[in-house]
Amino acid sequence: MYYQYDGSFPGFLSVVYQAYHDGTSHVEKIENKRAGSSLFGNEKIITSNIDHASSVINSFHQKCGSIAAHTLYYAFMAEQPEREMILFYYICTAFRHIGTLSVCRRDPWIQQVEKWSLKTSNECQRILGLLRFNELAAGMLYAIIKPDYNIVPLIAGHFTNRLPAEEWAIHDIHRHIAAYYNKKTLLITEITEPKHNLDYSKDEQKFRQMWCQYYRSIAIEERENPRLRRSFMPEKYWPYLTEMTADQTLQN
Amino acid sequence: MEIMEKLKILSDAAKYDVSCSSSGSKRKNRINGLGNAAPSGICHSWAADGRCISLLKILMTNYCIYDCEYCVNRHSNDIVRTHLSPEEVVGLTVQFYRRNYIEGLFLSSGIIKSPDYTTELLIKIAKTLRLKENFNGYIHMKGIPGTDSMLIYELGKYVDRMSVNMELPSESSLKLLAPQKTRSAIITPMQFIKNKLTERQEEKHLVKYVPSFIPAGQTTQMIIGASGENDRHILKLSEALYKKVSLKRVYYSAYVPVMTGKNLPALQVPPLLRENRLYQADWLLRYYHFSADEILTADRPNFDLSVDPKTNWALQNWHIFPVEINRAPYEMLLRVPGIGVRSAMRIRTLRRFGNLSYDELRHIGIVWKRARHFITCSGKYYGLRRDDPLLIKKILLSQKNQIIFKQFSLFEGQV
Ligand code: SF4
Repeated sequence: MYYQYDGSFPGFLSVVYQAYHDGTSHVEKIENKRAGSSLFGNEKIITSNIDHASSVINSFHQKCGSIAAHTLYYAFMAEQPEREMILFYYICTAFRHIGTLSVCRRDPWIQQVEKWSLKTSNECQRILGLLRFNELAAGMLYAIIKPDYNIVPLIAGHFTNRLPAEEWAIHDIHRHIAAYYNKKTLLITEITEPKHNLDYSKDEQKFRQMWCQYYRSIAIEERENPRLRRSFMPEKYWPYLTEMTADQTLQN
Repeated sequence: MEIMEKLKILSDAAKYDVSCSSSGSKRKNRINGLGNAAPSGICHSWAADGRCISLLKILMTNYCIYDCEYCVNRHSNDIVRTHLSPEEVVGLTVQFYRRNYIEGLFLSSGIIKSPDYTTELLIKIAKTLRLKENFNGYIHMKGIPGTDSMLIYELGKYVDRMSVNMELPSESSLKLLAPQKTRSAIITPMQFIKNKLTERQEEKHLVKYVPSFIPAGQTTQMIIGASGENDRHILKLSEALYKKVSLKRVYYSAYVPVMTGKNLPALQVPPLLRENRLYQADWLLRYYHFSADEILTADRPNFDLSVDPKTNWALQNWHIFPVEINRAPYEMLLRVPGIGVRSAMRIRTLRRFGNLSYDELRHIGIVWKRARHFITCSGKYYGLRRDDPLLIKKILLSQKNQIIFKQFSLFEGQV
């Protein structure tokens, strides 16, 4: 059986739901519709179904534990090619070895899933620190990121706890999705038309400069160590860091 | 003076303080508040020297009535002086925090008028942040030596961490280099904090709500290489501080020769490697059940800079090695060079299900290149020379990347 779904996590779980219904041994391929090219005409197109999805994830969480559920979700968000069948295998294996999933640690596919999940968590951890908000004229805080993995939904909660009284948005310009929070509710949404001419608040430039000044003066010259810095803060993140784009003024 | 200029001067003056950690506090946000604390801390950037930037680390002022010889802010030094008002400190903290530049504030200060007066200003800042701005991010403030205990207590209610710096490892060096500071002026607030924290631990069992007091504990810092103490002396002092006043961390700061003075050593470069050895030894005290006396003995009171202290200990105590991985007690596993806490725990768990084989051992996460000389696995020795510790030392030293490794682990566990 060939399944197609919309590429979302609930969508994927809906496929899993259906697959358990159809008999897991019949699953031959699960494909993201967006990436999907191989039209054989016999795919089963699964639409995202929140009830189905939550029943899968709830029972997975309950039976296989929160670590396994976390691993599954984070590995999915790593968005690696061909992830679906491997994650499907992960789910089946976990259901088969309830309480003893750790025994399967030597299984290379299970290891693969754990590796993906770890990569996503690591990037989340990094971005929690490296994300930079800019204040727009209307007072909203706006951050641009370009992460390797799909972490916007994973880090948004951290900022709702931290900045509950602010309006803010975190925009993944690579995937065209954003987390938007309006002081009450959080929304994960697609951004089809990015805004180009951003209006920054009148103090924004001043605080950026002060931060850059601080960044420069806090380093001890006698201990300079560019290699060490790069190992902690890879260059791919620099274009979005206020302090590393120091002398560029804000583009309007 | 423009605030930009103040920021430049006062952050530059604060940079020699090593700690930038934002860990250890679970402070939650309040309704419509700003910020919270992440228990394991978050690094927001890394400076050109590779150190993690987690907090806005700054001095309230670089005016100082004291004259510590090693310090740029000393009274007799002719430099531009300035002062951030409480509003300015609060504003910077809040604005930096909102933009996710920082986890919070680390405020230190030169002493104006008196220790008490200075602390009162610090209290004002902490209070404004917490009560007026509803700020629940991380706050670390300096405990000024010689401050009245009641003021320390008041400040402690609003901050997450407090640190009173030891500065120099002995009373006599203090006398020489920081004549206005005394050992007791430093130890008294530390002791006071320790007692208050213990009191609270006890109260917690009795009453439901105990008001906050320095939830992330206290730390201190010592300058290494500005005075003549040997490594053993310093390490024993740290050990005593961990035991007697339950410090969370002792930070070591290699003396950067920014000042010249008649009592200061003429160093060309800061003793970074020595500092690193102290951090490694400190690690052994806190996580590996070593005592200072074991790490450095009276007849060898200084580190062998060429090897790390754990390997050094193992080579000095060669008669104990090699140890059998399948039988050695956990505490002994911890003492094997190349085996860390995590791999020691894994060995302990896995060997319950039967002897570990060579293959399994290789996959456990130990540094094999190092560890293999010190262990046997089911009786078999995989090292090169079980009869000759000196040769083992040579082998370990010749392994490439030694220096780089040392540099990289320098700020390990900083957060
Ligand atoms: S009291 Fe502190 S700021 Fe003042 S001179 Fe001594 S070390 Fe420097």
